[in-house]
Amino acid sequence: MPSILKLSDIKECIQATFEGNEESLHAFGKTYQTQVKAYLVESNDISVQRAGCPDGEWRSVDAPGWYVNTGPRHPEALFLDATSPRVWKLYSVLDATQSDGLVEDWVRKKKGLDHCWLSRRHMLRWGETGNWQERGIGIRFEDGLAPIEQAATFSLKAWHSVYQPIPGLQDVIERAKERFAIHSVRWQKVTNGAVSMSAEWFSDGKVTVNRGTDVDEAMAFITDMALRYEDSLTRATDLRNSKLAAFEFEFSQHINLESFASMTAKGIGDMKLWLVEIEGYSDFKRFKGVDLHTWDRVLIDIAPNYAFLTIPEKGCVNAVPRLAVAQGEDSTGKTEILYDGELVFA
Amino acid sequence: LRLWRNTVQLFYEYRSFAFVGPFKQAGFSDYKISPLLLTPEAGERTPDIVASSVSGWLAVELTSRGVPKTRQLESYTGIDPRYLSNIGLTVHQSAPDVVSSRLTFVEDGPFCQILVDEKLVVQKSNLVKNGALRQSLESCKGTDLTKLPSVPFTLLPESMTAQEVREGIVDIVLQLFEPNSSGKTPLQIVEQGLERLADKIGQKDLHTLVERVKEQIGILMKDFLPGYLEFSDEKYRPALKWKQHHKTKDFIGARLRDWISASLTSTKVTDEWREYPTGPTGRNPSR
Repeated sequence: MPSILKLSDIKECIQATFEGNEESLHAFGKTYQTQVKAYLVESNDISVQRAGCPDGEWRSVDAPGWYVNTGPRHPEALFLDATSPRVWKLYSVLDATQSDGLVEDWVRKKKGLDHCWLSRRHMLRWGETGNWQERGIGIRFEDGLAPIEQAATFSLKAWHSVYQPIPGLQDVIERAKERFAIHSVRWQKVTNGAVSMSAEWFSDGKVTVNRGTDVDEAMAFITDMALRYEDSLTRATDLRNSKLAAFEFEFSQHINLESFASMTAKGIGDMKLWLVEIEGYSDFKRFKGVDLHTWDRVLIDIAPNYAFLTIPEKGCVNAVPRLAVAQGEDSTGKTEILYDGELVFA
Repeated sequence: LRLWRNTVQLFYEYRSFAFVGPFKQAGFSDYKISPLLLTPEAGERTPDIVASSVSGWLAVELTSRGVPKTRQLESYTGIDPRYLSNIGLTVHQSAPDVVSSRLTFVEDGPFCQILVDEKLVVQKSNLVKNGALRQSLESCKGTDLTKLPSVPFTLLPESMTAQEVREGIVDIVLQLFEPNSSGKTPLQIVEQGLERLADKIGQKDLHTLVERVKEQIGILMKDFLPGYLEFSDEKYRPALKWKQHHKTKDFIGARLRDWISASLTSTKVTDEWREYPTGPTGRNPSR
């Protein structure tokens, strides 16, 4: 007998998870229940029915655009907010090991679905607001286009506070931020002197709510990012439709063009690009191909420290942030996106 | 395509290699492709690019043909500038500055000419009335244009060599291998390649381009991807040998590269013959 029939049931389920964790935190100093997660999914305007469900099927609840999964493996543990046609929010009360795999599999296999690839400006935006404090950062560089024996990988995850336990740590973090891609940022909201929410955003559009006290506050926080991302997609689409410039990427790390050509020729990797090289020099190559997310066409012109992306016709512009984020964490480091000299996805 | 790419990008700025196009520098940030404008006598004029800034407006004609465009360029000076309002550009009272854009020099009469093959060459800039534009064109002389980004249309409504056609449709050919693909007709491929130019092309040019595409894909199916691509029910579709596997994708990509590079040598003579079937003077340039 289904127990979640209304939006208020979904909220109660999430709120109970928050409260269970708050109780155990106060009693034992640790959280024992799973932490609520949400995944922003770029739907490319396909229908919920066509997208399918990571576990079972979607069953609608009383509020339009809201769904709960039917199982069989994890019934009523995934909640979909598809009230916006372009960017969906998938809430999960499953453990990360179960949840991440299900969502990844769903997004990878279903044509039209993609992650929302958050730029550093998206992830750092709460620094502009008064109530939020940055409480940690994850930085990642896999050097994926270099030979394994020469790869200069870098990984840093630092939780910090106003108190600096290691002198000079902040300086190291700031320098790393300028050279490499930001994989995650942890934010903490302080209300009336107490922590009301703590959450970690990841560059692939996932957020883990480490501490929460109010489900509505958490949903508003997540919706804010979804709307910001949707606005960025709309802006990028308008630019693409009205002008003939290319999206421009500035890399902080030099990349190996031959390795890039070899990887994209096979259509493998997070970038989801299948490309054919049509013009090549030692310091510049031109490619044409398809974005395997939607099988839309893409034209890429790339140098060791910058690239141009042109998306003809009505192709999905989600390839723009994907290239910056996935390629940034893999090989290009901190990557800025520009259009006609102006920052976009910012 | 290089002509279009290197001309269009003069309206933009790319920070990676400190490039600011002269048209952008002079404030021409808004432009239209092949808009229909009229003279006071209702004569129809469609310059390839029309742009407007606060200080004036501009008509640019792009051509790779080896014949002078003097009369066509002159005809643009007679456009009634009030028609700019119809295409959403700032209206001016004066005649436009007219510029021809080419890859190699051909005498086009008393008009400024830019050559955009590799390095920007500006000739007769003294004939540009707009001071800001004249200055920016002068300051950009010699700028390297070889690494400017691609433009979204990959086919053009004029004569194209076999290599240009193959390069222009290679990404559309990849789309044929989409899972559950319903295939594409030759016309669909051409319209995709023309992108926003699709509604600017006449039926005769469209038919010519469709035939060119059919010919080039025919060679691809027969000599480069036998068993992977077929033509049935008037559409190109993946054939039995195709599998959604990274090794197959790698193979297809390699064969497509071979197909493009083969066109550089094997079809050159044929191309020249096709481009001038009755000799250069016997042609009837549509643009």
